[in-house]
Amino acid sequence: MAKPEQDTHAQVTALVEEYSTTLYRVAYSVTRNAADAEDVVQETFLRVLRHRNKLAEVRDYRVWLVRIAWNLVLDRKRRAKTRPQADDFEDLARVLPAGELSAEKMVITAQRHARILALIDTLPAREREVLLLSAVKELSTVEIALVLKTTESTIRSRLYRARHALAALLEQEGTLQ
Amino acid sequence: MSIHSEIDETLRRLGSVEPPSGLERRVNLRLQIPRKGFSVSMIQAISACAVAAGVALSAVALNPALRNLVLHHHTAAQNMPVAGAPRVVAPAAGGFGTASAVHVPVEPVPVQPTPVNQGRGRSRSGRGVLPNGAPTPLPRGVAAPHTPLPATGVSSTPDSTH
Repeated sequence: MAKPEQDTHAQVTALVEEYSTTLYRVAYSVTRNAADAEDVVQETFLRVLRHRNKLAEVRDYRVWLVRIAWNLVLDRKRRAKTRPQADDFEDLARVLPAGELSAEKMVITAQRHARILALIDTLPAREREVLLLSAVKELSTVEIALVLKTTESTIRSRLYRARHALAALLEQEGTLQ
Repeated sequence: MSIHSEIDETLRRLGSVEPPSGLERRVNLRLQIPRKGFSVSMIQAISACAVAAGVALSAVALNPALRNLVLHHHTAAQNMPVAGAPRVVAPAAGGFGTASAVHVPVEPVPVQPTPVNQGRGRSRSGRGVLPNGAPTPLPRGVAAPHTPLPATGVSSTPDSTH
């Protein structure tokens, strides 16, 4: 009697091993906070365990898991909207890989990245979401379309609009400074 | 560096963030806790509730006083008129405000007769009750003679020895 239960648990453990990093990146792209991103990953797999009877019906585990994590992280973001965002450049510099830059250059680069990320947050929700999901290197345009339940061409057009809007904002900021 | 390459670089870095070490282990650990917690704590809680309910039901079933209290006292208390309380009738239709909330009737309202105690030899307070017309019970204890004792010349009070 316990064998199917053990099999399911082994299957979930295998999913954790394979997709934790991807889910962490998806969550981090929105939260920008390591602890929150890890919480989202854990919550995602708890949901999987809760709905383990559906595992056999899933065709694409990556898309299914990313969709769960994406909904969770957006929900979390919505609930924490009143919380002020911390501009912790040092933390960003530590977390974002910066190659062989010097400490000073690393902080300047981190500040610049933080500014771009802050501008991304000002974009319209649909464009912002596509841009953030496109940053996750494991996800293709087709997979992003499946996660957001839309077509690939829609994703491409939103991505184009998002990048141009962001570039315009950055140019505007550069002329103002 | 152009703006587009800056955007690309930021997104590339954001999308290639490395998770903290031991993430998979912590996730697997968290997945094991709710399963154990559910199986043990839920069974314990359900069995504790069942035992408590069984004890309460058997106590009510076996103890006549408790049974009376549960089955009769509540309904009797609801039906009995409260002594001394003013009788309030429903407010007249169309009234509003504090003054019209309670309507006191002009004429006295006839009071219903007090319900007769139909218990057998026991009042609500638990004391013994004699039925009407029954002979007065004999006094308890040692019977004392009605005639006074003859005087012996010695005071019966202990203080007289002083």
